[in-house]
Amino acid sequence: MRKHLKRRTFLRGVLGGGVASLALPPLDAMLNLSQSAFADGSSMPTRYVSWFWGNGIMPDMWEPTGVGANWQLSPHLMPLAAHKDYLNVITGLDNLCKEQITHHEGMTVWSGYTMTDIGQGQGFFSNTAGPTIDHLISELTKSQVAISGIHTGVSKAQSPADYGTTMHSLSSRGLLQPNAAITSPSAVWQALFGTFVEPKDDRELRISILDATKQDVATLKSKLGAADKLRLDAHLESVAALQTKLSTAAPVCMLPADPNEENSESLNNEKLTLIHNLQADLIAYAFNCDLTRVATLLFIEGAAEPTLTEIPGNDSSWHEYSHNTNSWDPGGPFENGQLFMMSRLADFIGRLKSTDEIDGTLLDNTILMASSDCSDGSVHAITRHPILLAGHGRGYLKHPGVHFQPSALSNLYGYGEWPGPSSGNTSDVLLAILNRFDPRATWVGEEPGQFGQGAGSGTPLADILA
Amino acid sequence: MTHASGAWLKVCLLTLVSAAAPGCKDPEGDGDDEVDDGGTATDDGTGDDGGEDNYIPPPGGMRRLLDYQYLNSIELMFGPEAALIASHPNDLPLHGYTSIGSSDLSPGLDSVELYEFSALAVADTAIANPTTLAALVPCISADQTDACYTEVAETLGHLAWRRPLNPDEVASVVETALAGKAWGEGDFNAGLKYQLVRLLISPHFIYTTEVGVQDPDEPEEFVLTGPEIVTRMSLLLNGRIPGLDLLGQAEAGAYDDVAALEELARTMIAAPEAQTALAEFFGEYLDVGDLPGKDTETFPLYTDALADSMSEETNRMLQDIIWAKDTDFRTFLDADYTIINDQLAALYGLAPVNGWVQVALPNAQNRAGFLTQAAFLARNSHAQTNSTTRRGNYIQQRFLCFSVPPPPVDVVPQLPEPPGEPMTLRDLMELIHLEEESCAQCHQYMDPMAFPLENYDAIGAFRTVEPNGLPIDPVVEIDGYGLLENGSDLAASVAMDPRLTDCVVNNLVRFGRGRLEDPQNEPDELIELYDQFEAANFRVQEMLVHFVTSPLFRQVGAPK
Repeated sequence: MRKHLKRRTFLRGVLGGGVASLALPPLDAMLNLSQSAFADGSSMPTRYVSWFWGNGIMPDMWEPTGVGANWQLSPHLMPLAAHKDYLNVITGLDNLCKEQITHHEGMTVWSGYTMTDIGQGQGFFSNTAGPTIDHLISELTKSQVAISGIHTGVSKAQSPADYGTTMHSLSSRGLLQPNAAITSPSAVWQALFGTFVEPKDDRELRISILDATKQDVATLKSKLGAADKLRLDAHLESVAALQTKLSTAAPVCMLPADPNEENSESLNNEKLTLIHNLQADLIAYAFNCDLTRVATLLFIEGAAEPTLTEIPGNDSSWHEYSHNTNSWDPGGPFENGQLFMMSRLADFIGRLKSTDEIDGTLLDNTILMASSDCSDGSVHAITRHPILLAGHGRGYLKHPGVHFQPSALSNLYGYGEWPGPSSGNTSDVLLAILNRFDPRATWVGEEPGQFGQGAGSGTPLADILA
Repeated sequence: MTHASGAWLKVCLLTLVSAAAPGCKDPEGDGDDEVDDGGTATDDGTGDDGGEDNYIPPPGGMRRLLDYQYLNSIELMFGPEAALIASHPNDLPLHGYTSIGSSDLSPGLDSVELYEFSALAVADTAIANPTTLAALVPCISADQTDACYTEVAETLGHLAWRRPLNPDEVASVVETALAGKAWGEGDFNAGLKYQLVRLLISPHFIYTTEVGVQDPDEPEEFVLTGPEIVTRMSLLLNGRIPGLDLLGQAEAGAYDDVAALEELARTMIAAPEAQTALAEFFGEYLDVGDLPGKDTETFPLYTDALADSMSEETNRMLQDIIWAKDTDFRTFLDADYTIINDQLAALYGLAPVNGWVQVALPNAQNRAGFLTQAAFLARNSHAQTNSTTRRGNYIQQRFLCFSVPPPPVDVVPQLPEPPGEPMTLRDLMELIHLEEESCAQCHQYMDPMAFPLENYDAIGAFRTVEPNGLPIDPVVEIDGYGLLENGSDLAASVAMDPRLTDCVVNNLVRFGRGRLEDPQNEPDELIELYDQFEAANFRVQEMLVHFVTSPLFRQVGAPK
C-alpha cells in the first residue's frame, strides 16, 4: 500500500518533471483561467456539492430549534457551530417519493424522481429514474469548465439491499446512467488533475485519436438497436468529456500532488476521516482552479453495513445501529455516529471556507446540499426528510442562514416512528438550488402524471432565498 | 427424509411469478435487506409472432468487456507486464451480475478517460517489453519502417477488434501512427505508441457486439456469427478475447456447426484459464468474497484474515468439486469434508493443521457442505447475532431461485425485546414472524429453513446453547423436505432439491449472457439445459459445454 502524504505536503506539493503548472496564487489563477471570466460578471463561478450520509438521523436531536433567522443549532448540529451563519437548514418537509421499499425512496430527495424498475424478480431492486440535481447543474456549467462533475465516495461498503442502481449512485444522468462514486483519492486526483501533468504535451494528438474513434462508434451504431445507441451516445459523451479536458489549457493554479492514497483498507478498517478530507481537499482544489463546478460525495451508502470503527463505540454495523434504537442513547454508538458524520461535513465546509477566492471564500461561492436517505433511520421514514444547505452561492441563499420548518416536530414523536407533522415537498429545495444555475428552470423531477402529483416540484422554496 | 418430486417443482419454477407482496410486519432488525438476488425475468412474454418454435431469445446487442476480460485480453496481446499496469473502469452490477450491468448500463462519463489512461500506460509498457507483441507483429522489433504500422493495424487490429479492419480503418489507424511518429520527431516507437492507443480506446475493442444473422425461418432468432460465438465463448470460458488463429478459423466458417463448437468448448474448458474465469462467476453468484463486519467484542476471533480464510474455504471446495474431481455439483451443498487452514480449524474446533488441507467434518457438529461453512453463515448473520431470515432467504433466492418479495412499507425492522422470559432467536422468530399470518406469508419461506443452522453462530462456530444459555432446538419440519434434525439434514435436502441445480443453471445463464433468463420466451431451451445438467450427473464442466452449444447461448433476438 502506498503511503499517504500529510495534508500540508499534499496541498503544497509540487510535482516532479515537467508539471504543467505555474506557481501562481489562486487569485491570479482565477483571473487567468477562463479567458472571459471577468469580462462577463455572470460567469463568476458558483459551485454545487451533494454530500450524503446513509441511514438517517435522530430527528429530535438533529432538527434545530426556532425558525427563520432566529434559530439555534441542535445537539447533533453542534459540530457545525463554526459555520452556522453559512447554514440554511430545512426540516419538516415531505419526500414525496411515490413508492416505498425501504431506503431506496429516500434517494428521491436528490432528484425528485420516484425510483423505477422496482423488484424485477429480485426483492430489493430499483433504478434511479431521472437525473439528479448535480447532473442538472453539470449540464448547465459544463461548457465553461474542463470537467462536468466529479463523483467521490468515502466508505466502499455497498448496500446489500439493492441489485439495481438507486442506492449506489448519489449521482445519475438518468435511467441506467449512474455516475459511480470514486472512492480512491488517487483516482480522484487522476480524474481531476492527471491529464494536466503529461511530461510532453501530446494532447492534440490524443484529441485526434479520440476523433477517429467517433467513426468507430458510427460503424457500431449501424448494427445496433435503440438501447445500445443510447449507450453509445453516453460513450460519445465520455469521448467529448475527455476531449474537453484535453483541450482546456492546463490550469494556471498550482496543481496538487497525487495524494498517493487508494483507500484500499478492508471494509471494517476504513480510514474514513482521512479519505473524506483528502476527497474534500481535491474537490476544493478543483473548484478553486475552476476545473469543475459540481461534485458529489457519498460518505456512506444507505443500508451499507460496514463497521465504522472510527466512531466511538462502533463495533457493529452502522446499518444495524440505525435500526436498533437501543443504540440511540446519549453517548451510544448511533448518536456518536451522528456527531461523527456532522463533524466530517464540518470538515468539508471548513475546507471551502478556508479557500480564498477573488471575491470571498469558496464557501461564499458554493451551495452544498447535505442529506440522507431517511429521517428516522430505524423505520426508513421519509417524512420530515432532513436537508442542510451550506454556503450561499454568491448571495443567492440567505446569509446568515435560516431554519425553515413548516411546523415543529410533534411532542408525541418517539424513536422508531415516522416523525410528524410533515408537509410540503423536499423537491422545492432542489428547484430553488437549480434556479441559482438556471433562473428560467420551472420544474425539477418527475412531471405530474403517472404518480398524480409526483415527487417533482414547480415551486422553489422561497424562504431560503436571499 | 422425503424429497419433493422434480416434475412439479420444475413446473413451479418456470411459472413462478413472485407472490403478491403480503403485508407482513417484520420486526427483526434488518427487515429492509433480507431479500437479495435471485428471481426470474418478468418481462412480459408477448408470444411468438412467427417461426416454427416458440423460442424468443433475449435481444442481441453490445456488451462492455468486464474488468478481468479486459486485463486478460491485454495480457494476450502485450504480455504480463502490460496487464499488470493496465486498469479498467469499475464494473457496476445489475441483478447481481456485472455482466448484466455491462449490457444495460451506460458507460460512465469518465470511462473513455479511464480507458485512455490505461491504454497510454499499456502502450508504453508494451513497447518497453515487446516480446509478446513482437511474436504477433515481428516488424515492431525487426523492421521499424512505416510499412510496419500497416502490419500492426492489420494484425493486432484484427485481434483487438475481433475482425479484420477494412481499408479505411487501416488507413485511419496508420494515419494516427504517422502523426505520432511526427510528434515524436521521427521516433518509430512514438508512432507505435499512439497507434496502440488508437486501437485500444476504440469501441471495437471495448465493446463486444452480439447481433448475429437473422434466421430466415425463425425471424425472431438471430444466429451469432462464427467470430461472435467464439468471442462469446472465449470471454465466458477463458475470460478473454479469442486468439487470432481461432478468430481466423471462425471467420472461415469452422464454427458454424454445433459439433465444432462443442469440441472448441471442451478445449477451452481444459485450458487453465477456465478455472479462473469460472471463479468470476461464483464470486458474483455466491457473493462471499467480502464478508460483513462483526462485533469484535462478541467475536474476538473474527479478523480480516479469518474472513479471508472463510472465503478461501469456499473457493477451494468449488475448485475441488468442479475441477479436481469434476464431480456432482450437489457435493458443494452436502460434502462431508472441507478444506481448511489453521484459523478455520480453530473456528471449527478441529485439530490444528499446516497450510490448507482436506479434513473430514466432525460428526458431532452435523456439518455438511456450503450451508454449514463459515462464509455462508457469517455472510448471512448480523454483527452480533444470527439471522434466520437472512440465511433462509439466501437459500431461497440463490439456491432455489425463489424470490421473496420485499417487506411491506410499514415494516418495523427492529427486533423487539423478547416478551416476558428470555427466549431463543428461533422462539422469537416463531412468535413474531410465523404466528402472525401477514408475516408468515413471506417468512414461512425463510426462517424455518434456517432453524437447523441455529447450531452455528454468526461467524460459523458450533454451539448448542445461545449466549443467554438457552438450548438450541434445530429440529424443524419443512414442506417437501420432511423432518430436518440438523444442518446436515438441511444440506442434504437442499442438495437433492431439483430446484437447486436448475437455479445454478439459471445463474450461469445470467452471468454468461449478461441477461436474465426468460421462462416465458425460452422455456424449452431452459428445461433442456436443466435436463442436460442432470444427465451429466450435475458436473459443471459438462453443463458449461451444453450451455455454450445451446440456442440460449448461440442465438439472440433483434438488437436492443
